[in-house]
Amino acid sequence: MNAMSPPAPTLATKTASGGEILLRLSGVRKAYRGAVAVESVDLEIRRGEFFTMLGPSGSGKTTTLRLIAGFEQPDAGTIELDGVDMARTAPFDRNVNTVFQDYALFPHMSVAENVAYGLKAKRVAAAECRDRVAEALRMVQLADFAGRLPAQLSGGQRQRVGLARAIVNRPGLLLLDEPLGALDLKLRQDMQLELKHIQEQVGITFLYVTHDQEEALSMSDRIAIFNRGEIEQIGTPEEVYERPTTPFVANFVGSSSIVKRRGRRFMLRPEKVQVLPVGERAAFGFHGEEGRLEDRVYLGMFTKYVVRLGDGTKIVAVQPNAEGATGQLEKQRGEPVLVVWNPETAWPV
Amino acid sequence: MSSAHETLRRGGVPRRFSGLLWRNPRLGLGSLLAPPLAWFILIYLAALVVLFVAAFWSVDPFTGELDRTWTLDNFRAILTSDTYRAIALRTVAMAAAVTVTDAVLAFPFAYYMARVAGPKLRVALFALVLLPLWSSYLARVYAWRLILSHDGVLNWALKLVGLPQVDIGYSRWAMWIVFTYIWLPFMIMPLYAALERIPGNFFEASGDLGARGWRTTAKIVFPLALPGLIAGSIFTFSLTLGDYITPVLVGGPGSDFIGNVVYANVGIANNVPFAAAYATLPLLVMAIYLLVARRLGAFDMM
Repeated sequence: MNAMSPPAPTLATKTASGGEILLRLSGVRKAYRGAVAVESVDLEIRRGEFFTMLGPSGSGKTTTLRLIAGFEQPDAGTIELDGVDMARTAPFDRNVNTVFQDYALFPHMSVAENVAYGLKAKRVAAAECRDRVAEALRMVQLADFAGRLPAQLSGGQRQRVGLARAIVNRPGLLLLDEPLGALDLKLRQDMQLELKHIQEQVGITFLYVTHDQEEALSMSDRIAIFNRGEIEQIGTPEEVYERPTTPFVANFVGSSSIVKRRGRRFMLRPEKVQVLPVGERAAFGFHGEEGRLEDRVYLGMFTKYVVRLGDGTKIVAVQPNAEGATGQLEKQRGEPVLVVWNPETAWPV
Repeated sequence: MSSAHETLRRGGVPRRFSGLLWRNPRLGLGSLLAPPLAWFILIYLAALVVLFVAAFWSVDPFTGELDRTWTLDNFRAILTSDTYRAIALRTVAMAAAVTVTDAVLAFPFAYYMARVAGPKLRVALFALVLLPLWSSYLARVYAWRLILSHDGVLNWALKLVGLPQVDIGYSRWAMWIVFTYIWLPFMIMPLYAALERIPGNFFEASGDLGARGWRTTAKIVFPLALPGLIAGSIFTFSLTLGDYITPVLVGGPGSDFIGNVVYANVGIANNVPFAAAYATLPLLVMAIYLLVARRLGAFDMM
């Protein structure tokens, strides 16, 4: 019945580059009645990795996840898990579990029954089933809620049940479809840390889907950026932020200004641009240009400056409002200012 | 501006009345509910009370006049007579059989409508289910008489394909078939509503957790559709329980229902107290049925 035996939980270093490949997608394509959702996706995910598929809505990231889960069948391409193609395998025969965006908890079953559902389907012995359910509920800090119905839980608690229900099966690969999307900001940030912690604890490979670039940067070992059904770039959070390979990635991951100089386009991250009063001298090796201050927005931790250069280019700069910092530039709208950056941080796109 | 406000504040009679209702929400609710409540108490509850009271009266066998003295004779007759017991049992058994058959037939049909069929096919199936309700009950029962009678459509068709003839016209089999047919839409509709409400990703989640189709059906679909099933069964069960036309038209000899006895006692025998006493029986059965249904959560759906 189960083609693949569950892999031994690896607590290996998560970022071990060149680690063993767990999941390999080659030439995967999916269209719905002519509308192409996934154009052609090639992807390799290593065992033990926290891998994120990031992209705007309609970019194909969720469809790719659903293809891996088995909720959809690809029109072309292979989906290899542990070297076995399972593009045509039913979801119940895949060593993969999913955490759903809206939890999809069964409303007529208690928390414990929800978590035990997968084990019962696999005919795990009652005693072992009980132990594993208790362990999973402890891990998501819901040990005291075993007898509750989903309707009696808060959104955050339901999300934890969804997570426990999936990891209790010890899948080779855990798929998470925007699992924190419905939670408010504070809870979402707490859950990000907790998810990462749980992933390190259980050593299961996580494949995470989100449209939130901050979430992707803070949690992932590697990120694949999706756009129009294709992957634009795959890399570590630092790589995709500092060295984007396409203008789309430069814009979607973080914000940036695009400057054209000597016939080439460069990307400038706002935190790498300084705004100074005219006449002040830029540090050695830095590039300085004059412009007009178009807007200044106080954001608490930062102040954001929008400067229009002589050739019409718009530059956005963000400076921390730290003690003694140059953040509080006392200039009004329309006044001339100097923008300064290190040419090495201007990344060609 | 203030003059416009003045005009509004003084207003006409309708405006002042609306303001009164706004300030006293209970008054609004009361005036809304009073007419239906009055109707309910007068026509419905009062009639029921008269029925219960009359059940303890009797009729003078010689003069045929009502004797309004308190007596349990009617109930004693019902409980001790084999005939009346058999009729009650037959009625309840038929109601149960029809309910089970309708549930079995309706489940796959409602499932297909709710979860498989596309929007266009769904509308067409809706029409097919509801269309018969537009024609008269009597016309449909008479149609079944023509189908099931000895030289009817059924035997003609059987003969055509070389199968042996059946003789089920005017029998309990005929009643079972006709009741099942007539009340089927009342089972399909609530079942459809229940099945349609199950979120699609429950099926995905169940499969994702390793459950095949049968387990998903048994553990997810069936429990979530149960309230709809029970709501439908209340219709099929009570409608069969109270019927007295189908037994006359397609039932053979000895297929009287409770309703037929009540009808005969009201009309021919002119023994209204006995009819009232016998009529409390289906009321009692339905009351028990509804209590059990409430326990199973059937009314969470309505």
